[in-house]
Amino acid sequence: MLRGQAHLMEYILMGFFIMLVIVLVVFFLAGWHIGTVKSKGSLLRQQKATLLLKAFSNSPYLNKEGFKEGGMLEDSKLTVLECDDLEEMMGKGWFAEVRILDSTTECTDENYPKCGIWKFCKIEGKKFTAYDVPVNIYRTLTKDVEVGILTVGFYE
Amino acid sequence: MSRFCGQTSLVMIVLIMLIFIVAGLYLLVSSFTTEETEYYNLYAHNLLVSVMRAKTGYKNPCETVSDTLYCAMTRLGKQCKHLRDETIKKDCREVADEVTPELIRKVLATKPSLDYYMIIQPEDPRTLGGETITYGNPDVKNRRNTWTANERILRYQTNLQVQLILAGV
Repeated sequence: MLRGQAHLMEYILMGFFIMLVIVLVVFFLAGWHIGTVKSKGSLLRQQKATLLLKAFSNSPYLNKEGFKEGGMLEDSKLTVLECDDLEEMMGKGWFAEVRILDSTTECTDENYPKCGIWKFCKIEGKKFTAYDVPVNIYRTLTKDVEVGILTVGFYE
Repeated sequence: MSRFCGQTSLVMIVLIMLIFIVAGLYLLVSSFTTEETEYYNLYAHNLLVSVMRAKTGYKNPCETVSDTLYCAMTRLGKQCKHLRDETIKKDCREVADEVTPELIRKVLATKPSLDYYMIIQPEDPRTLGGETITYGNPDVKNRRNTWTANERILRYQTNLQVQLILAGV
């Protein structure tokens, strides 16, 4: 009688452990799947950002003529360009900012060239993911070449 | 023998559980670390190119950072006048040491997680007596995750090779 109970207990315990293993496997697979999807999403966002950064820094609409390798943005072109012009080329749902190091004044038609920040399609307060790279900014009037940061982001 | 059959099964189940837990943790951790090599390679390349093309504020032969580095390597003792105040004269090497690390530091201020090491040397190591100019932290070379950008300063007689290595702090 006791031996039979012991066997029964043994089977119940085994069954419990097997169930535990199955539950653990299910949790692990679900967690792994979520993790992979998240990491793929982040990788895709980063690839998109890299593509936009390259498109921006190599665009003839923004670059100074003669710099085939890109990354030499011309301040006069940056000043006249507007969000709509760029959205026609690159679609919607993104923003860009060019900032000369140490500069604090945003450029408008009135204060150009005594400024060093250009913003395109930026909507304040909206959640975004952004990436940046260093670029050169060519000052058309003084023929000076400065270092700045080009930031490109997407709204979530 | 049959007395230990139940215990053996239990030990087996516990072992399988342990293997699953370890494998699960490893896969979870590895799936959360994203690959950002392409972006950081682009960043390193753009940083090197934009610093080399930047104007220094001095006259010829120190007009741009790359001109200044070339002058510092090949024309020892050559002086450069300041653009606005010609009474200010400095050695090419002095201008290079003043402007190059300062520009890189300013750009990297927006990315405090990155450290750099820059090496400027002649393409042919037999020329210029193997002279090398370096800026930044030499430990960066020995870090595990590094991103390297290479550029050349092409000039008559001696070409220079410029390498910029970025790594996480």
